[in-house]
Amino acid sequence: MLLRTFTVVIGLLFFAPVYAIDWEVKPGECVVSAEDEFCDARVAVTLTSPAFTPLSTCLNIDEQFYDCFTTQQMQVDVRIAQDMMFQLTTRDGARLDSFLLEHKVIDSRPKRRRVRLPWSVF
Amino acid sequence: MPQVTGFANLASGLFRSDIMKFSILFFSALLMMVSGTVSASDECDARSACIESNSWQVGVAIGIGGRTNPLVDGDTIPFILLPDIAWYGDSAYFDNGELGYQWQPTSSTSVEAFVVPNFEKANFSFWHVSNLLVPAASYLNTSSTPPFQMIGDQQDVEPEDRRLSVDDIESRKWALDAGIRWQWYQDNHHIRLMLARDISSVYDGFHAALEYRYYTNVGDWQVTVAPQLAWKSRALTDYYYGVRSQDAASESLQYDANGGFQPGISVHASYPLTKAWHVLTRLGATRLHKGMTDSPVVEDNMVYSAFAGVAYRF
Repeated sequence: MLLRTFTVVIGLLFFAPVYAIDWEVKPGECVVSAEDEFCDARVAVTLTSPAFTPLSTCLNIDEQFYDCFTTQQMQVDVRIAQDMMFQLTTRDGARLDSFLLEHKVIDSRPKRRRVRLPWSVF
Repeated sequence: MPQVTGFANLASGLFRSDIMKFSILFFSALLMMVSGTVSASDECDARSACIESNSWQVGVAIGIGGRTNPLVDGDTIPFILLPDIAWYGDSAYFDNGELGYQWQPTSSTSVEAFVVPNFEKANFSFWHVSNLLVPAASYLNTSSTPPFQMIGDQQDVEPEDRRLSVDDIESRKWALDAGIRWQWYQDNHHIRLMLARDISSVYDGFHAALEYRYYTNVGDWQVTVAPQLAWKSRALTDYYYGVRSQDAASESLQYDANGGFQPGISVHASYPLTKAWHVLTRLGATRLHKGMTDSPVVEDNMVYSAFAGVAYRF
């Protein structure tokens, strides 16, 4: 019993979040019908958690520093041609949380495998 | 008649029986059942040549290449322009001459029934300008002795004397085959098993093929390596490569051809230049079976094919 209690406590120590993270990225995805299509979008990144104070939080996009928050919301004009990673960090660069803004290709028609190799008349 | 010896000939003899034909069908059905347990992990991608349902793919490749012709006096079939025409509906399809219907294809298996021209006739049809220029030659030897007079017992005839030009035998007909094919895909691996039969009452026989394809990338090159084992029935081989009284007056030249196995391998490689343009290369080799190479109208025991060029997809 003592061992079991000890294990639970150790587990909580390891898995308990340091921050109560609450933020949102809108729009949350870019949906296109072909691989070479993209979205030009104004993405709003909003801090909704009291744990985040704008003056202490910054934004990285695809591992590159973008800017630090001055208000609860930051707007970013981006071209989404592939998945983009949004990361919240502290001012000294410590990572707080991340969000993957997906570039989704929705096939309008299902694809089928050809039964013969192309250009194989014989 | 050639002596039936060795495993290949034994196997070809077995294939002549209906039991073996049904065994092939049974084996196919068994493999299909087994494939139902394979997880569908791989999706259709560019490596395995995909097409959207209810759409056409039309392309043309221009380059240089050809396919050797094993027949005596058979000219190499040139590959200069290779068309690529495919249409796929929800289940039906047309793919480079093959018209078929696919049952519920999954990401790992498909089964299709199809009709397709049999291309054996191509050896007898393409580019035989010598047909027009040499009207009556029967033998290829340069002896001044009339050929039929020098032949007595077939056992005494030299192999070279038994050659018979494709230009001097009765024309063979095109045939239309109907068949069934099972395919299995897993990651880079692809297995195909096919059985087809003449439905045009031309040769009244069967042929089958087991093929493995391995897809890989070498840099930006998309490479497919495909070893294959084909089987051609006695009826098919005898119709196209047997020699009958209509082909040669001398009984010593007449020949009943046996069926057999033909192993082969092909390598395909393509390199994307743009979305529409590709560099396309192909190499292939097939070893013909003894029942075919023993025929007086066949002089090579290998068929090679090659092509190098550029392909454009419209």
